Amino acid sequence: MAVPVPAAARAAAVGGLAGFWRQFRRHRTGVFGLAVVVVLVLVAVFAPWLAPTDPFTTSRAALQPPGTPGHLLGTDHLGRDVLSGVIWGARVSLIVGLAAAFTATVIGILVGAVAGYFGGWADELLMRVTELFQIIPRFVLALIVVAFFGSGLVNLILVIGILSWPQTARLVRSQFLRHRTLPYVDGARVVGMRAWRIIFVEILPNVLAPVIVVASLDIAQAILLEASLGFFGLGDPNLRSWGGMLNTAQQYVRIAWWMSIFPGLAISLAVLGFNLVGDGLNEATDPRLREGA
Amino acid sequence: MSRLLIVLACLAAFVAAPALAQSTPTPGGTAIVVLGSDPEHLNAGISTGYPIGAVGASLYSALVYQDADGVVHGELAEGWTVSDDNLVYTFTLRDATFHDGAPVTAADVVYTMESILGPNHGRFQRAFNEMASLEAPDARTVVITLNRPYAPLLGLLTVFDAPILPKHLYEGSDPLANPVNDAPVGSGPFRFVEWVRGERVVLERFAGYFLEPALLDRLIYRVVPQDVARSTAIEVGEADLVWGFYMPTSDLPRLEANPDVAVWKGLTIPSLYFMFVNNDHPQLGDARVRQAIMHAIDREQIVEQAQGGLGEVAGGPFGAGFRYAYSEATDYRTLYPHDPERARELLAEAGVADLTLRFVYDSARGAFAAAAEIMRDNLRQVGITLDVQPVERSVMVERVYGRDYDLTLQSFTSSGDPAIGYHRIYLTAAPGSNFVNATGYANTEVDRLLTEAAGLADQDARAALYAEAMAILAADLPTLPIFDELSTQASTANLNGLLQRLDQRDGLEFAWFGN
Repeated sequence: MAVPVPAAARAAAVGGLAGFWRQFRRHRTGVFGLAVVVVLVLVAVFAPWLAPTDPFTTSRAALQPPGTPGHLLGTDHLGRDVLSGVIWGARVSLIVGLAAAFTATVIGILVGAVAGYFGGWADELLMRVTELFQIIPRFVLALIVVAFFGSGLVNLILVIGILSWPQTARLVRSQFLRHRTLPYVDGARVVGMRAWRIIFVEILPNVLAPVIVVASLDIAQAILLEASLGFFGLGDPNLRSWGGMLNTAQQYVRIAWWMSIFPGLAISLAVLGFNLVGDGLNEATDPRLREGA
Repeated sequence: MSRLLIVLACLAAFVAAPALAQSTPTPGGTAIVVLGSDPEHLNAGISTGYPIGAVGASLYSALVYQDADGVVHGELAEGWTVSDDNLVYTFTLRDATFHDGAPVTAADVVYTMESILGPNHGRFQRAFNEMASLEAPDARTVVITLNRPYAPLLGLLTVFDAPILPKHLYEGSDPLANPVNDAPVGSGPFRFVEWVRGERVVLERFAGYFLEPALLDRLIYRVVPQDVARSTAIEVGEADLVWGFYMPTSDLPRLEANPDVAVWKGLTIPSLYFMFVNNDHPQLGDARVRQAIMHAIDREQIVEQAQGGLGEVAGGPFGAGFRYAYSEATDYRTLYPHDPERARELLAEAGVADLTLRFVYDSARGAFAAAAEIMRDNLRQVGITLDVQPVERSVMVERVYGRDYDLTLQSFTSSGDPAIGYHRIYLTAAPGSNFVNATGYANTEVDRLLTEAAGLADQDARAALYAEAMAILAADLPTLPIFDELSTQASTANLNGLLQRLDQRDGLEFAWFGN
């Protein structure tokens, strides 16, 4: 089907993955972020082999400082290895971050596409709902919902995902508003293509680049939100997470700094990594910022 | 024979003499006691609040007191008799006067109980509800007649539950609004001097006290709202005594290291932490599985790490807080030591493998969360997986007492008498009633023994019944007692004579400064 494609999308397509990587790696911070993310993923995937002990193994050797033989980063108040907790915590953070951002992105695309493509009352209604979700203090609502429905992993993912989609929705809507009047969309309509095909097959691939940028920032936000909930004692009680570790570390902060420093560092690094990747992606995919486009 | 006695007596004198020389109580001085919050008023008869009870303990007196071992002795009461059917208690009063000079009579006692404590005092109400009548046949005699035998009665007549107030100052007024509540008149060892709201309550020795007069000249209760400031106050010598109730436990190690501060840890008002096991669960209904869990759990690690050392591994179904409700023969520490190997054997015998249990507790309790993590690890070693479910308190109550749980951590206190707080853990109870036995354990013999024990005023007779009940409970193990909570206090090293009574707040008339 010969439908005109906008210049930016075409350029990206022509450049291909290699061209994209060439653009991306020009941003050193983005490459650094990517490195952090890759390490994080490796740690999460290989946690059982990397961690010196199981994260739940307690011992009578409580509050041992970093450097204690067998406990590189020390032990907590129950004698659990801090390093193992940090390593296993990467899994929790990554699973929640990715799954919640995916949930948010799917919802955001659906809402934004419908609102942007159809306009009219559907747009009005969906945008008011989006604004409603934007003005709700996310953290407070997450706190209440998790406290009420329990803080299992699935609940955490759903809550964070459901509270994180408005930005994606608004972005997708604005892209659809622009694209729906472009000739290629008119063409698709003229040949009798159904609305849902135009939305998902014709327009969506052309607006995905900025969505992916937002998604990577969403991952960072989701990791932070999960850690915050964990800090308030609302993480999954059957998993050892960075936020949960910080929660118990609070009362030992004066005598066992290592209980809070290491999970705290891990959270900062993970959030930083995904944010930098998002920035890098943004610059690499934005034609206005691109060199020689 | 007689020569041996003489030798022994000499030896005893030799051992005791230096101790006596060091500890001759000297009167005088002012002790500063820390309170964490300002009392709302100073009428201990209408409130169970901790700071009010603290000041009230020195200000008022009651019919009886409990010594450090929990044994009841007469205070305002010179003595008492109990009828054979355990229903009628007759108290004879001593010659005592209120701080305003008026005598304390039987009419004051009856009026206080009927008109002030009965309607307003949360704990005394339990005793009041068991009373059929309260009479003062003459000025020195009080007769309490019960509806049914109720042994905890005496434990509910102490200064914390039944301080005696002056009838002549309260009669005809609303006891909740009477101005005397802010400038109280009692008959205790210290009398009221002044109360600077939010800052301090000052008491002084009452020379007309009907028992041995207090040693200290003055007692100042100072209000220190910040946790940290309380331990600092005692370190820099600005205060002389802080009770565990107000103590930041994380500061204890620092205080212990200070030679000018004496830190004490011990059992006072018993508080038992235990695990309910849902006996209706197909596998947990088997006593061997419950015994296996008891063997698997490292209670010493829990006391050390989850409770910061402020506990004592529970020795029986009623802990160790009541001498007559503890039996060495069925001490759980000897019967069920931490032994994962034995636990695995018991589970194999019961044919249980790969068990996953829901573990519910109140998410606001930090010590429970830590204990849960230790138990998760302990039980994993014997093949039991815990699905830990910390929930909000109201949800916890609904689930546990609605029996929608497998294991749960709970803590009950039983001030004064095991029948007040601990019997309910083992007595048969219907599902749905709160704060009783939620295990589904029903044993008519245990019910009979405990109910009978609750009616006996004689402690030796009670002990025999408890021993019988404990033998059954030790084998059935419907509930797993984990530890008894320990109380603490920190005091200036030269403040002597503390801790003479069951409640730390009581008995400050015996305190004195040495050098």
